[in-house]
Amino acid sequence: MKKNLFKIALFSIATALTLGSCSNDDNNDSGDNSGNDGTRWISLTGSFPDANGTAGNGGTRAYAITPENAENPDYEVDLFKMEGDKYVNGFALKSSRTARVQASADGKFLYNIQYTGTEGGVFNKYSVSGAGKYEEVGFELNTATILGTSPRWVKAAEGIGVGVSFGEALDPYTGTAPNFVYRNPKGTIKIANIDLNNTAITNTGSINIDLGTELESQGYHVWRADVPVLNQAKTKLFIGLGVRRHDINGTVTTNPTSGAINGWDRTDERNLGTLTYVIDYPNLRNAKIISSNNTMIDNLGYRTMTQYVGTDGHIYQATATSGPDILRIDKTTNEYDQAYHFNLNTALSITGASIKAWRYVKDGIAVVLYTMEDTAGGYVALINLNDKTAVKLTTEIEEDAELSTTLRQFQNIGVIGDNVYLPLTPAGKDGNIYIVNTKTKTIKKGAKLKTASGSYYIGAY
Amino acid sequence: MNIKLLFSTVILLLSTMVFSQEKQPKEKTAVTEKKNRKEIEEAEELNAVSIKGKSKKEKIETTGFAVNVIETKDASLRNLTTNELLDRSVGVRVRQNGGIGSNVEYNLNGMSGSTIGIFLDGIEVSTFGSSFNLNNIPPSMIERIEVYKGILPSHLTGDYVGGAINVVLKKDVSQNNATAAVSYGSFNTFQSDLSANYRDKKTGISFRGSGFYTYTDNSFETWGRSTTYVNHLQQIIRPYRAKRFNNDYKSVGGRFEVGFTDTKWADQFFIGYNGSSNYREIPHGITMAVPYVGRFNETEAHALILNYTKKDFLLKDLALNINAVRSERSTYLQDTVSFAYNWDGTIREVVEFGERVPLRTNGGQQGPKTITNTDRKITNARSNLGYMIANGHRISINHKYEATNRKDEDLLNPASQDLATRSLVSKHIISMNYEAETFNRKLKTNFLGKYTTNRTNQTKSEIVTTDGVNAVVKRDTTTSNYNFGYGATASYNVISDLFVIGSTENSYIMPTENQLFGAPEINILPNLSLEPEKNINYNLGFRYGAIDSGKHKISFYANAFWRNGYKKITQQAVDVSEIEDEADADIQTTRYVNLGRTQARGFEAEIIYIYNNRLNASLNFSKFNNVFKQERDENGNAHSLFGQQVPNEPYLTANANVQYRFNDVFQKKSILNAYYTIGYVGEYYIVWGQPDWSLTPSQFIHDLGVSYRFPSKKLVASIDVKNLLNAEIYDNFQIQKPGRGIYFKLNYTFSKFL
Repeated sequence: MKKNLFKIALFSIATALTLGSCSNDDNNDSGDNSGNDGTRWISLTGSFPDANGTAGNGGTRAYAITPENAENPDYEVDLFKMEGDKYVNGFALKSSRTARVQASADGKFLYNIQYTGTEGGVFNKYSVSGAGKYEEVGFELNTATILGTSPRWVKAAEGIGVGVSFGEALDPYTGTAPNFVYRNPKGTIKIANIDLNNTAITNTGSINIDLGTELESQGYHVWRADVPVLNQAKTKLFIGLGVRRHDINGTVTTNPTSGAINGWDRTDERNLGTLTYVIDYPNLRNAKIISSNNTMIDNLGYRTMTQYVGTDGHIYQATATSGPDILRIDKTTNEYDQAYHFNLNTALSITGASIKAWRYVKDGIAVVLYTMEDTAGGYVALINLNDKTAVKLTTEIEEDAELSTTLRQFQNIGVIGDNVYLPLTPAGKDGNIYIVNTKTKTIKKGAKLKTASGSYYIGAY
Repeated sequence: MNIKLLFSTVILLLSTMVFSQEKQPKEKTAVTEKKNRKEIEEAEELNAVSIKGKSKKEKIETTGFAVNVIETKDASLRNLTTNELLDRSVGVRVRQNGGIGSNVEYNLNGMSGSTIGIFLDGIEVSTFGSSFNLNNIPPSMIERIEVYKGILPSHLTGDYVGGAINVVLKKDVSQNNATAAVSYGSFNTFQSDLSANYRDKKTGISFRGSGFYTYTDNSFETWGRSTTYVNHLQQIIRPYRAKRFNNDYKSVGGRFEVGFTDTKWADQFFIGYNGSSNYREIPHGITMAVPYVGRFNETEAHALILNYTKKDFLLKDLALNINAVRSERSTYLQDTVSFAYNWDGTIREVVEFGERVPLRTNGGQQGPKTITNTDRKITNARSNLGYMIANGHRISINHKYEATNRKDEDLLNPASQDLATRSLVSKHIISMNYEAETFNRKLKTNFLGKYTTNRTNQTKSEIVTTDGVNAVVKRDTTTSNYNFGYGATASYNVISDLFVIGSTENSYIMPTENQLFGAPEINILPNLSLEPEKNINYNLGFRYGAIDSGKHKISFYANAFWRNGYKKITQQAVDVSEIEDEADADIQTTRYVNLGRTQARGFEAEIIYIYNNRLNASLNFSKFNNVFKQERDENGNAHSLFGQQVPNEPYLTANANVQYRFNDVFQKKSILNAYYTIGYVGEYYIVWGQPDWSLTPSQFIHDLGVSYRFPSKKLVASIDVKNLLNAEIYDNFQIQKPGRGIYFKLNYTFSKFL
């Protein structure tokens, strides 16, 4: 009896140890090894939930297909397919939270700066060779000390990345209780130029924010810098600003639990147009603020790029991700062209549109993803910036309420020639790549995109 | 409401009892002194007899709780910390961020963080300050460590559903002696401790005191992927070999108690002081990506302690036990160095406005410049009154009171605390339990009930303007809440030496203030509709042994557990569509929510084999699954992650220990003990879907030790080699722990010095 029991216990422990330490076999993606055969790979990215199950917040996966695959409605991409506890298709970009992915124009490289998580602020570059074959190339870059662990960065021109970070704001008060006195928090924008080809931070600089005594005394202040873009000549950098206003007649605000002072009362009253910092590139000097007379909504990207250089050399800037406007910055003066104003509401004869992502294609033609204030869903429009017209392109899932969540997190619209690639999946539901032909002004359904709970596709590159 | 009233009355009654009793017994002491001495002698004889029966360890382990007891006798002579000792025991995983003094998280079969209570003699160890913790309390001060998984006995009640670690300090003062130990080893690590006991046999006046001092550079080398060198183009070169240069740790502490033991009126009555302070450099943040220079904290704590135990208190078979602590502790944090560093200790460079210059940070190493201080005043008292109703039937009532008064200071900007809320958070826990031994003492059962009330008195300050004049107005608010919990344990002695052990529990955890009210400055939104977490736990296992067949002794232990959390409070990113202020919408905005279900299930087992009282070998392991239990996703479909192992947690651990005793080596009557330990932690991933880069590989850690007791029995010398194979080891993702280290230690006992 005693001996038997001993044997059983020993056996069970041995079994458990063996089973527990078995490693999973590597699941290599099948397919050929021809990395540089000239194929234009379209990388699709998608985000999956975090450990608590929060949709789209856990990380980003990528999978590369050919344009033929993308156009084939019978082709299926199943980026979130699992066998056991392991994803079996595609590649996990390094990031424990949703990655901030950019790509080279030819689709051959993906660039990413990890957003928070264990290596927040680390830049990685990947070469794309089809399916899940991504290979890390070049140097990893440590951007965290300059830009923080949750940097806002984009590809500002081909081969050039720019990261920006707002910080070092002053406490918005001086004095002591109960007679606190308002002080404008000012702050600093740090800028880092990233050479995407040689993977190096080649120059950095900073702007000490100065909105001028008049605006500052009225409580206007910057709270974010975002979406840097270079002009056609690559001599000027345009940085979008988030602006808020303190109520100078108010007082300090406190944390509801601890009572520690955490800010100053704010007001929504605003009488100030969209602001953009203009700075010399690449030396990052001579900062200057320009202001639009056409709208008072800021130009910020929640996760996407919101301003592009047009074929005509002007910069087109959307008041994304909450407004309907597209503004123009003149290529010769580097000032807002106050005579130019595109309004998606006007162009489509609707109200309450807000641009969630957009992409300039060429010759004034662009594709816009938008949501509407009182109507659920996510919509597609083809716009003409030259004659300020727009055509709504209908998709069969546009009224799905979950699509508005997806569009909020949308990162990139893919463009090859005249074709625009839009992976559209409502959170947790299957969808398709939609392909817009900007010449024929048509939209058609391409490859099937399978999702999983809390997962959806957020970009095509 | 009625119930609340009832319990308030009980609390009141109990506290009057507690305080009214102090005088009474004193009057009787003188008269009964003689009689008392005789009783002690009898008691000592009795003790001697009972040793042959069951040890304290065995007794606790067969009560029905999922508990194991760690004895510290051997370890105290070696170069081991209390944490290392814990890490080797079954089902315990100590996740440490680096060398001595670094942050520690305890994981008991998958439960961690605030779900686990860490106690010192039944009082939360945090009461004694963060400078008096399991990192630096030397094992020589400790009698034993009890590790409870899941359900807790009434002497450890609290808001803990994952279990508890209770460190029981040495109490015995029957032998007047003193011990001293010094240890020196790798990474310039110096550790020493001293302790002394004294008892005057005539009067029963007793003294016990102990102290420790620890210093280390923690200058160990790291060479894994996480150690990097960043050049002026911010290119990361890795792996890189570097020696830690910013990780000093210094700690000093002491505990002195004076009182009476084994008198007529008290088995133990002690008043004492427990003080400690430390200095700790913080070498990096949540990862090793960037080394910190000049970020450190200093903590200090002063605690007054009172301990009273009496077996036949007022009545025969009525036992009273009071343990109370009043402490003042402070935590100071400074981070003002504004250059960024590399792991080789040099300042990093950057190209700024076209020139290569030293890289400046945002003001400090982790963020803006910071100097803060937090003072806490804590009162923590536990009293237990037990009564043996009839032979084998015992009822006891336990009261726990805890009050914390906290004050935060921002020393760089004192005005930011001008409107700070002053709050006193207090908690009463009343628990009752009924223990019975039935069926010829073969069945032991224990029913427990627990009532918790939390009360927060807040004084909030607000600026009010009247006729253009500002004034600070203070408003007092009081909030309170309560909850019930209950549980039961059973242990059945099936055949000789075989005990079947089971327990279950149903308890609640209240949301904290931050969880309810949020913290806007770190983007946590309030959620006033949070409900308490509910937990239902089950444990079932057995203990068999020690089976004694001549020279061989073997014992087995196994336990399976099943833990269900309902309405679990978890931080969750807020869906952008829910945020009113569009501009606030950011991935970082979170709030605490009641997330559906969680479940952990698994088992642990241990075998101990002893040969001829010379060879002592043990093997233990623990495997558990923390399972994602959200059944439906946002669209009401079956969740695709349902049933999967939650990432970022080790879930398989095993330890093997071998000890062999050699007698008469070098000298007659000497004893040489050799120890060998292997620790294993299975690999795990930090995100879903197991990408290669998120793997924390499996770990094997080998430790070797030898201790030698000289024939005089007064001097023990020991050598320990930790991480013998110089393995690259990690407890937390990409935070490398020390490589091979060698340590020497001398222990000396001055026995019967008075």
